[in-house]
Amino acid sequence: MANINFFSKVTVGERGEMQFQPGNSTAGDSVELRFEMNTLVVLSTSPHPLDPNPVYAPKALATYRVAFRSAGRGRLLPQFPPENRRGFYNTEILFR
Amino acid sequence: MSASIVASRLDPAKAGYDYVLPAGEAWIKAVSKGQVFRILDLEGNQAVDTLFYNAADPTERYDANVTIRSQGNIYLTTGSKLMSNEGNVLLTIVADTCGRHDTLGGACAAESNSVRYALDKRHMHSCREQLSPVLWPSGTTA
Repeated sequence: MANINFFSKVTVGERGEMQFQPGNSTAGDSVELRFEMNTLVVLSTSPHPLDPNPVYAPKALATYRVAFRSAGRGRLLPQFPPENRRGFYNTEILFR
Repeated sequence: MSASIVASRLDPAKAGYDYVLPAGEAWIKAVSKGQVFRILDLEGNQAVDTLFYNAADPTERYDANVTIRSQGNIYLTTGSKLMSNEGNVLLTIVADTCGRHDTLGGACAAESNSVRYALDKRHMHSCREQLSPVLWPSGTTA
């Protein structure tokens, strides 16, 4: 399944070899997502499939829904690559 | 796994099937267990969009995530076992004179072309629209 594994790091070597990097995140780390569309979010916690730890040890996480509207995108827009800008335009016309 | 150049010993003159796929067209055909299938790049620098399904149950299909995770490497080459979403080996690459093949970039689609190029290119030719008629002939659904 082509999901995202937040807080997990996998490096790719010169010959394409994938290496799971343990200890990539520490307690207290967080990631914040601003939604550009109305989106269904699905989460679960379980060990990364490349984690070499033989013990199955899923850990708890906390989620927060921060209920304010960010006004930052217009300011950030110029630094996005052209493909992202066209993507934002496609999203915008969906919500007109 | 480094790039692994292995030339086949099989003689295409003895092949039971030989077909030249014209540019811009799609192709679908079942291959039986034990058969060997060769894809030949006639003009060089091709990107051959390829999908694999269990011929008896198309809900089982090639899975890029399972494949690269199972071999611990993002490139496909000789020895790569192409895995299904059910964790079965669909097929193995047994010869390869190119060395590396991509399974991360995906296939272009009307939607991706609208951001890759421009919204007014949405109706233009794309890989996924090319594959759709053979995957879902008229009257069937995904």
